[in-house]
Amino acid sequence: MINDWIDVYNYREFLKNSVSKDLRTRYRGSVFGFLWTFLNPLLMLVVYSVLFSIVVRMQVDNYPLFLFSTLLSWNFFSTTILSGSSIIVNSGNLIKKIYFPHEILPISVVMGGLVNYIYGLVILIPALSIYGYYPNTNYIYLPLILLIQVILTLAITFLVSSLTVFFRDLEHMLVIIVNALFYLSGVLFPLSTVPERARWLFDFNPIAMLMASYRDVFYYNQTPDMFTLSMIGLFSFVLLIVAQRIFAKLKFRFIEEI
Amino acid sequence: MSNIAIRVSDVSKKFKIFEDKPATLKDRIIYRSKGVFQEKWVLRDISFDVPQGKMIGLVGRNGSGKSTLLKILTRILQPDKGEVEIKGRVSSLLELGAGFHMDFTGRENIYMNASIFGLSRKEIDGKIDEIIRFAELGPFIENPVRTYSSGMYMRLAFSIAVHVDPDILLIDEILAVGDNAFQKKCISRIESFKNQGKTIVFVSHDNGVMERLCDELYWIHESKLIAHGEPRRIIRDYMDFLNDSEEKRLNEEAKLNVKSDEVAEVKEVFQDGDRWGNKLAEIVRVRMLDVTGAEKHFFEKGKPLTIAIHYSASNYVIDKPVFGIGIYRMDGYCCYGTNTHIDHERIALEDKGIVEFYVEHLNLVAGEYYLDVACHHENGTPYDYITRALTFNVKSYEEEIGIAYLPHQWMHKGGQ
Repeated sequence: MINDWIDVYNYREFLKNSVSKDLRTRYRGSVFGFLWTFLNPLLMLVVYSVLFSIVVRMQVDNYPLFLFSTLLSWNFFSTTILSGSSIIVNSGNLIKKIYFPHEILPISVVMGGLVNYIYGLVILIPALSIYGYYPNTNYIYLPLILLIQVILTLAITFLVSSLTVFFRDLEHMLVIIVNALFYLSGVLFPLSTVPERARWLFDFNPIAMLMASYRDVFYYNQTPDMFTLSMIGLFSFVLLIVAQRIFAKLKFRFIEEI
Repeated sequence: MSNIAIRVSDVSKKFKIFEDKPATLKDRIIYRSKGVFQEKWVLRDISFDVPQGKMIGLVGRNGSGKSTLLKILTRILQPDKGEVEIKGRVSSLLELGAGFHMDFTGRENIYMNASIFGLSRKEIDGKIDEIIRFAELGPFIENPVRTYSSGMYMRLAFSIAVHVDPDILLIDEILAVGDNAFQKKCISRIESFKNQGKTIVFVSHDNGVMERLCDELYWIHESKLIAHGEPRRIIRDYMDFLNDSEEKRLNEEAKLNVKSDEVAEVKEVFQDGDRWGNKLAEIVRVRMLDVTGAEKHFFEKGKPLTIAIHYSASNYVIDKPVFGIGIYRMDGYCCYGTNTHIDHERIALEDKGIVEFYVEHLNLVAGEYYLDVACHHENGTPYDYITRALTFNVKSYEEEIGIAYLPHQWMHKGGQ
């Protein structure tokens, strides 16, 4: 197992190139090109601001920012899972032609999502500042939260990318699952509005807990619950180990199935 | 395995051949079936060692498993049984240009592609000029790869693959790449790898190159390793085998042709050529015989050949008949033609008989030829003229070129 990771490390240059190729070709052929990386979150913010300050009224202060403080993180999670599920199947051309550690593929999807998220912060943090939510000392927890999210997302991406090879329907089922999970992630509403009997859906949900931590930092300016964070961190780490083992077992059969 | 670069032990590989790939959800759940498939062993119990610095070649017909073996050596495929141990960095020239992105420039693709071989950016920086020079791309290196001709594309891909500085190089049939000049460059690059003491596994259908470059050849036939050893000997055995199976195939075909025609109407026996003449004398059969008198389609260069022309003549008394033969290359070039008149042979026809044309040394270079036979009057009136009566092959272990072998020897007188 350690060997798999060493192999990935040896191919880090390829990983780096795949991520940058991904980012560079994502908006290929469009007029604004790479600028879309920033335009996307910006326009999203504009839409939500207009929608929730004029059309819909929520009982939350500055709801667009409440939403936006976690929405980027959620998008990182959901788009990575969804595009990650088909990454092996779509890379058949490469897998059949040349040897490289296949782990690179899901890792590159997660890394691409991470870089995109960090670009998103360039929009998010000024937007928060405009409304008076200035960067604060709690931002020091941000790298930790992000690291846990990366580990968790990577673990899930390992699983879905390898399982989709053998069960293609998974890719389509995931769209529904991720969509449902969105409403259980606490991105849309404060957990305090959730009825008591449904609270467990959020309290034992690592995604919801992660989102709450982001909101603590960005919106409430308070220290995230370190106990919760370490629990999800531990959970994510164990899940990653298991997921990679499963991936490593399945990867030898990829070539015959794609 | 101190000086063994590649050790292949008892490697077997099977493929699933699906007859009906999509299994329904019901089948999957109830019968745990994944569709109907057959298992086909493409490699069985292959074992060999390649010492460091040696170059070995794999020969065998298409589909014998050579490419699968190479893919296992590169780790693209995993063997179902057995193991492969490899010492050092492997570069493969199996599928060139893996991971090329059409919209990126040649230079960007060099970084992309070389990193798939496991090179760091620093290493690539050090080699990039050499890669570009070898690919002969010049200023085009800054253009997107999609604007390249297929030759430029392959040159770039090949150039990267040979510059990753591997310890072990796997090469599959790349010599079809590029024009003659570039092929020569490829070969000399392979030779220089060899001289640097790299280990090379080589697959090619160009037996001449195989024989010249490889230290040892392995012959894979129907997924098994059936022989290995000194290149010259393996190639000879392999060529004999190929010729024999081709001979068999041609005989089968000939039999089919004859069978389809029970009255033995001779015309059908002859192949697709034209035939004309007034048939006062008729050629009923043409046979090509080797030294043992057996009918053959393959003849060895320099060995005896007999062309037997069976004729039958009608009641007329035909005077001054002339029998002739012509040997043509497949492109229609006449290699040799003569007849009994030119050779001052007089033949008195009977109602049937055989005219034999005997060559003691068939001095044609290797290749495929066809034979015209004719019987006509001395004044030129054709009785029976058959073009392409037979096709035949000449095989040779030498690689001379041209049309005919000129008996010769080389001499050297120094100091003059």
